[in-house]
Amino acid sequence: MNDLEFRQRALAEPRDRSPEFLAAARESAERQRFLEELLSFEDGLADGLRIPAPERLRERLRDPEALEAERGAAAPMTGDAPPRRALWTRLLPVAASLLIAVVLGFTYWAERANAQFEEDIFAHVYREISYLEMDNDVDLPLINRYLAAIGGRLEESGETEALEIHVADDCWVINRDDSVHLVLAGERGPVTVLMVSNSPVRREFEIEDERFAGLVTPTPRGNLVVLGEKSEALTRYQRLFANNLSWEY
Amino acid sequence: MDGIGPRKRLYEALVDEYYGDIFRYAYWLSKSRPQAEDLVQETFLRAWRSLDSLQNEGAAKAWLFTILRRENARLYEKYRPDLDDIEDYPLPDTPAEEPEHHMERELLYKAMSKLEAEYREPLLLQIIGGFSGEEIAGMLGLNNNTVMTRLFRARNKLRQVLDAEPARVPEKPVTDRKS
Repeated sequence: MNDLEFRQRALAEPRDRSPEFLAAARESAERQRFLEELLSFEDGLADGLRIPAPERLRERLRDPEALEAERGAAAPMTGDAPPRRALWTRLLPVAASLLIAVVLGFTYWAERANAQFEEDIFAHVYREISYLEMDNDVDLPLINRYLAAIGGRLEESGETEALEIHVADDCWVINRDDSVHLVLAGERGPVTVLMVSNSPVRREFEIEDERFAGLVTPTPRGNLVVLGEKSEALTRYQRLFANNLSWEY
Repeated sequence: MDGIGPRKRLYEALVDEYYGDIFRYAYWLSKSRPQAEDLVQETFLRAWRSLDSLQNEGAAKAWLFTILRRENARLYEKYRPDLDDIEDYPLPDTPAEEPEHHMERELLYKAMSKLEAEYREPLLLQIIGGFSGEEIAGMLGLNNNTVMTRLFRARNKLRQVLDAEPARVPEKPVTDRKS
């Protein structure tokens, strides 16, 4: 096996354990180094792809009859047609239905946007799950340097200075560089705070998955996300950041 | 006797054993958590309905992954989700860092999104599913050489993209000591 063939095979299947491949790897120190580097890359790749699967999904799946019932077809309409009535009396329920459909449509799309945002938040938090284990020492001037890039500022007050912040980073939740991501010490574990400069939300709403619970709060520009372990009392942090976060443009 | 028949017992065992990997595969295929959950539910429902057609329990994993792929194709054709509008990332002026053992998932997410589906699918089947080249070839209806070529190109591209990422998002965020 020449070097090119070896590299191609290694890249196609780094964990190839066939005697032929392993013998080819041992033929030179350079091949060994290449394979070791590739296996390290592969470990990182496998680790990165290994996102947690929600436990509640497993519970749902174990009851296929209930799942089927949820997806059951609607009963067909039957019965005689009503007697013919004046046109306006026939159009009135149509108009009312249209109005309800429009209102429900707005509500539906607003809820869909919120659901999509919830998904984006969790996708981001799980991508950066290693942040929850970091124990850096972060001060407000650093946070404000990050916030300045997205037009925000956190007031340097007694209550913000009392926070124990372990992570500050610029991140993207929806679009590149649209957020500042903090992790601070909460009562029950790390608390994640995302100050998002776009995607304004119309109302406050709660989010949760099998591990975390969170609050999404509208701000004059963008929104604020506070997320922690399910037992964490988040409203304290929500109020603190909402009261001290301002947007400059 | 617990009242659960052998069919239901087998089904529950499949859920317990494979739902995690099935979910991960669905997530990286669809890049959407709600869509992944939907796909997984559809997959296991179909598995439940056609459980009697599973002749060999050893083939259950490949069978489930195949159902999922078909459901994803069916949903994708139906809803035509928007393409990711991932920006092009310019090459950095300074040499890029070597990929670390514990890869930043954000970078990986971007890198996987840039990978063409024909490369991403076999790679996910190999890493998440643990399938061999031959098994992947059978599932995708390709020959083994084509699968190996796509796996090689997938990793090559991922390494290029991840090596080219600027060190702007370091493994540990930049911090300062409190004065």
